[in-house]
Amino acid sequence: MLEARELTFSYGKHPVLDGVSLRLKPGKLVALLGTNGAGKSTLLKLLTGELHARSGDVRLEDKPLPAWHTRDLAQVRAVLPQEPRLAFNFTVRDVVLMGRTPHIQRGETLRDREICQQALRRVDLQEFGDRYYLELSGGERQRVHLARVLAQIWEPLEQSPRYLLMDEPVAGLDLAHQHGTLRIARELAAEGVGVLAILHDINLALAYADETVLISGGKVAADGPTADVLTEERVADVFNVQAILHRDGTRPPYMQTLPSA
Amino acid sequence: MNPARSHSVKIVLLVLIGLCTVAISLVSLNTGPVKFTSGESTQVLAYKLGLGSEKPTALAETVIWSLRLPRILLALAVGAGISLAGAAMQGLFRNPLADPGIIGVSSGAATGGVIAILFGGMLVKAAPAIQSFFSRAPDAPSGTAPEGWLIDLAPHIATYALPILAMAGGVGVTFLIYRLSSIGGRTHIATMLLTGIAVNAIAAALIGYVVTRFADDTQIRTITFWTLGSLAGANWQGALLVAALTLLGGLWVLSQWRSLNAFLLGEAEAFQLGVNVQLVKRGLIFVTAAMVGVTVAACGIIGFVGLVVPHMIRLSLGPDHRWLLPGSAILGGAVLVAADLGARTLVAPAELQIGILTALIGGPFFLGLLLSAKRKLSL
Repeated sequence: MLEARELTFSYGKHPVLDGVSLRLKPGKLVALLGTNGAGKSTLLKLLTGELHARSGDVRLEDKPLPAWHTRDLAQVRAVLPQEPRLAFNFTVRDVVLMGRTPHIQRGETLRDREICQQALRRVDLQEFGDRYYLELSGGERQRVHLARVLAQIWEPLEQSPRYLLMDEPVAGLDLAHQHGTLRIARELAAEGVGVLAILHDINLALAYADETVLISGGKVAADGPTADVLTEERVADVFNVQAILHRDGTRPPYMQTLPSA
Repeated sequence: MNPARSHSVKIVLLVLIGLCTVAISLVSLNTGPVKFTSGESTQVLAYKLGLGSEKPTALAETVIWSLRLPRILLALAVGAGISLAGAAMQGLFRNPLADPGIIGVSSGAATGGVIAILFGGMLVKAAPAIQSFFSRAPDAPSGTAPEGWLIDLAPHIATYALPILAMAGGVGVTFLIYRLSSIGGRTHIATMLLTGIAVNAIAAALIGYVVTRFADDTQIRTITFWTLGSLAGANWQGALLVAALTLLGGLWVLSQWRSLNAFLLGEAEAFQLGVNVQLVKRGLIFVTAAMVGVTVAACGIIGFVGLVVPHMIRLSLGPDHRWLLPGSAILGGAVLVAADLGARTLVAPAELQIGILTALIGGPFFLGLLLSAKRKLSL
């Protein structure tokens, strides 16, 4: 389990997070929602170990994050950045192969190459291995990086369950690939991976996330099963909109939002 | 451009580049005011290495063994060193424009070198006075030359202070640029280039002041040596030292290729891929800047090689550091041997500064890179 306890963080004097706790269990897909500037990305950076909290701690498998060896951590936990930038013209295959970095001892094996090809197939880019990264569109690049982090945690390991943290994984993707990305996240959760994704779209959270953590003003406004968290009242309150939930019993519930009156 | 070439094709290309390097070195060995045939130069090499018994002429022996060979070895080491350092810095700064000359690392090293010579010269001059002040033997007959450990040691201190301070200057500037231009694990390219402009200006002023002010009483060398470089002072001792240090640093840099690839994604991304970012970053800053410092101490600032050579390798072998680093080292050696051959033959019997040639070719190349960067990079 990836667990954050009572995290506090500030940039200079400006407080960003104030006593945030969160649990990511293996096999669950958790959505992290909140308004702009609520502290979602900062929380994600604390969970990855990129930033260190002023107080509180982050534990993975009950071991504090700083106590993990960087490479061991990278074998079980992958992070999809919000705006991956790469200014060099690698082939798509080589970018995905970078995801195998923590597993490679001397040189990459045939198995590493197979995994990369399968990861590309999974993000619907199976024909793109020989293409150049810089010649792809923004959405295609985003999916290359998704394939890269998938390759990183492709196989289950003995020492720990796997985790995937995604910072706005569907930003910049077309509708079909938004659903495609979250379906992959669901499949990973079904394989036992703990998946956390920052989302903006309430309906994607309602459709895919087992649990939702709603952040507002640097605190957890609500967390728990998605349907319990994303109620009309709470969404209206946190996001300052009118919210109307539609259910027809067969499809996932749908929340319509309107400007606040 | 085809970075998708298979490994075996890339190995063949590396070998071809290596053969070119050997070929241009042999041509350079035979070419100059005195021309030799390959047979003659081979004879000298074989004789000196104890492989052949036929004694070459004294002229051939002197020119080839004592003058040209150390100079070619120095060119190979310096070319490999600055090209490798350039390629590694471009990885570290995640930007193909990070050339040790452009971002000011070379001029930082040159400033260190000038200061080392200045104070080294002062130390050698002052050594007798200092020594006698501390160990004045009251019954020593006047008129005898003063002696003591400081007088013996001073010239050596002066000699070694040059590469050490040059390295320190390079490392200092690199750290400064990294601190200034790296924001949240991403490189702010404009800041990097602007820092280079400022550092280059300050260094030029310092070097100019020290060289013009103290040129008469120390072996401070000329301004053009520092700013445009020259391999004319090559000797075996210096060439072997530069080659050994370059080999040492270069092998470590080569071993970091996978980390450098991950670095191109960003610092946070490299960390999340299991790279020990702090260790690799500090190591790379230190080793690459030190390599630049050693070359600057040996032959001044030779611009643009560290920019152009890695770029040519990227065009032929792709951006993967596994191939980029060794390719840059080998091609860098060839480029510098060729440039030095031009420097000593184009206007013979005079010599051109080698930096004039590299800047004439590299400067327009840099402009072209900027033009294409407007499309490809977010400057």
